[in-house]
Amino acid sequence: MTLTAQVKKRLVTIALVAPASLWLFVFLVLPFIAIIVFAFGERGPVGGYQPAFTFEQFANLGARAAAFVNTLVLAPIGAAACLLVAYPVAYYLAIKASPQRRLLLVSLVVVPFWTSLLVRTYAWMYILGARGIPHLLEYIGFDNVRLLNTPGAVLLGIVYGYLPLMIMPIYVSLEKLDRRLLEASADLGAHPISTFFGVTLPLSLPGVMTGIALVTILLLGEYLIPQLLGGGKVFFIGNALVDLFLQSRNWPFGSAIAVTLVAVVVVVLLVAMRIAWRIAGTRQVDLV
Amino acid sequence: MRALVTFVYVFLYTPIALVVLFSFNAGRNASEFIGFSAQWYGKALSNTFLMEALRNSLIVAFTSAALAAIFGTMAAIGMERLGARTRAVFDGLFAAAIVVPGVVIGIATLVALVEVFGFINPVLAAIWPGDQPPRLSLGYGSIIAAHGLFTMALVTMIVKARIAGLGRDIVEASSDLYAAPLTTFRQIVLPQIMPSILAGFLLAFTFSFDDFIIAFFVAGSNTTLPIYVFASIRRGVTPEINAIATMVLAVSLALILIARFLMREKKKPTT
Amino acid sequence: MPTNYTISTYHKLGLIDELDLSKVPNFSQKTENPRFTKEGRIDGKTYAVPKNWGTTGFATNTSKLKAKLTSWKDFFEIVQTEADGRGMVHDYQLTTIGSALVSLGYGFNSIKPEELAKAEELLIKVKPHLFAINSDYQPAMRATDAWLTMCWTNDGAQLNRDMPEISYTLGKDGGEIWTDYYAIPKDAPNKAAGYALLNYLMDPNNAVKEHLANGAPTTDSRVIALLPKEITSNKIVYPDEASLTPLEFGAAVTLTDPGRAELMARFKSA
Repeated sequence: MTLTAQVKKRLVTIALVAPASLWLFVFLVLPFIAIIVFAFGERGPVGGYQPAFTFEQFANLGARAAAFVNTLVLAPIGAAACLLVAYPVAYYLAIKASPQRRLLLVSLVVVPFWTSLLVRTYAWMYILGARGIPHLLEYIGFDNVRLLNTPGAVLLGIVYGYLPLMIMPIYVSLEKLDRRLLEASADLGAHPISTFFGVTLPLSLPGVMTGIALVTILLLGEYLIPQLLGGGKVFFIGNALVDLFLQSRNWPFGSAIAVTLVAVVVVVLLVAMRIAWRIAGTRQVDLV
Repeated sequence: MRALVTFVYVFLYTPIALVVLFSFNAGRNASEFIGFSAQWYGKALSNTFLMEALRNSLIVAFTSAALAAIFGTMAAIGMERLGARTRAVFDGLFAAAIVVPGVVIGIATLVALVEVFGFINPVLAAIWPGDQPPRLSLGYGSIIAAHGLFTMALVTMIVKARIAGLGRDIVEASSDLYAAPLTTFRQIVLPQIMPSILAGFLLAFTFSFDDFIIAFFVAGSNTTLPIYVFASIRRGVTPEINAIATMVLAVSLALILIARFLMREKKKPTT
Repeated sequence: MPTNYTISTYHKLGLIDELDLSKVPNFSQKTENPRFTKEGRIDGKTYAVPKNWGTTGFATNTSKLKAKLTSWKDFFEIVQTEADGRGMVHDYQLTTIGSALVSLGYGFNSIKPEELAKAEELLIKVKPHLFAINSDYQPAMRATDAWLTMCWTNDGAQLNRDMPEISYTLGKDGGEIWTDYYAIPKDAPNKAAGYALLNYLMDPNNAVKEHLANGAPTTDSRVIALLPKEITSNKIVYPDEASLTPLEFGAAVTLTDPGRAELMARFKSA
């Protein structure tokens, strides 16, 4: 290969990655630098940002402790609730359902994604609102039950919105599972329950981990569900950020919270990856 | 177990059924069903604000998904040819683009663009020969750019996974036959990765079409469909919103079915 | 469309221009109620002309709530007791903090840290009992999810028109009175069109239509003359002069005060 051919090859490579690099730089790296700079600044006299170098914003994070607590409590609980509902469905789809019906049933899990989450969440506002379930409850003697704008409503919205995202990875890992293992376990006289805990569950753990990590991370930045089903009372970090940037216009403090949120996401991700590795590691040991 | 699974499907579809049902409501209110009528479909289609929001959403979703599909595929191919260390940097940045919450992407893009525009606009005004210098502001461009970041990362990941599964021997076998690289690419590689590019495009389109939170920050004075719907929910929804949601659902279901059908046709000869 | 308290801020920031009233011949200073035009003028120059005025009181669903509320003190009391889980406050610091201050006997516009601290204490105590913190309260009131809410005149009139059981009350201990204005932004691309629209809207025959659609009262006596009797005699839209006396206009400093902005944000995230 001549030198010019090598140069040419390198130029082609650069041309191939150039647009994406530009995007990553201008719309990821640069904005991220901007919010880090802002996080050390001060609120302007009528809101917005004015340059400064202060740790005041980070020192003040405690003022949004409730939002962090709400998010860090409800995100894992939401993910766990999703898992409890999703696992039996994924199990049914992968193991029990007949192959002909499986395709239809799996598609039906995905279809809700094609209507706006906003509109579907709005439908829950109606179902939980005074003219929905509480109205039906009046017929059996429970007057003025309030469901909307409670943490329970937010949790329900979370399970509803993220269920498909939890079902799919678990389904995929269960579907790959070698059915002969289940048969072997049964042949060896194992009780179905011990087969489940001894064989099925451990083998589906990677899917479970993917689902939990995916749902938890998305929930950490959630805004719409707490806003619509929590009535601005069940406040997530996402709600605090919208408030700080679009209403109370304290951009530096908002930036500090955004930077902290990203740090939380990274920590959650690292923990999830470490657990995933450990699961993969023990399985290898088992096989040896 | 069957009962539980049935219950979950009922749970998933009850709100959708309600949305569709109320789109045929004769009443003005989206929360009290009075009788059947298709009037809201007509009203939705002749509501200029709603139609403009829908058009904006389609333009934004199509443009950002197309950019993501093209640039994302290019990046996936280009990264194969990079050194390990540079590739790791790209992998990290793409992963970050996917993992960072939408609300942070929205905020960070807003902050950065406001700063950049604040710097560029006076410069433009100073050097512009005419009376009315162009002013950069938030709008279509910023939504497309911010959506493009996430979706480009998505396409790159999907296409890269496909290329990794391809096997180098196919590509090398072809270049051994003295085919010029571009021909190799067009005849061998592209057909193999096309399904993943299409899948990436569709995912990107869906994401962008449904996104509220990023657009909420960077849309400027433009309104996308989710922003319009959000504002309507706050003011009190009329069944117009249900009608438009039902139409979007119907169109996407039709597209899924067509895609299924086309893929089956294509697969037949090989299986 | 700035409200009274934002005009001086917009002026200070150089966002709006002085209006050339010769281009708005339909505007008549004489027939305007001076109470509502004051804030449009800064140093003798007119920067904004009034659109309409109104009050901030509260709306009560009387078929759900038996208590008779007459003051903001009652409001914050009932929200925690009979209307537990059914009351709404605005997602807006001016009115939410302002009304809390009034209920404690302080001024609507106070920015004194010790008074704000008391208001914050009250709001945080009330928060668990609220239905929502949201300035778009009409859907919740109509669905009877909420029974009691802070409310602006025009919303109060609309709610009462459609659901007579919803009443609108002004706090006898105080509250807000406001005027919304029209102004033209300094960098408006087409000022001629802006003036044309403004002049159109200032024509009493057009203003009366706007009034009927929106529901908020007018500042212009020429428009009042054109209104049907059921509107001018509607006590929600045109309350007795006596009930307006305790009300205060929101001040510019109240709106821009960082302490109040941060208090509201703390209240929301508590």
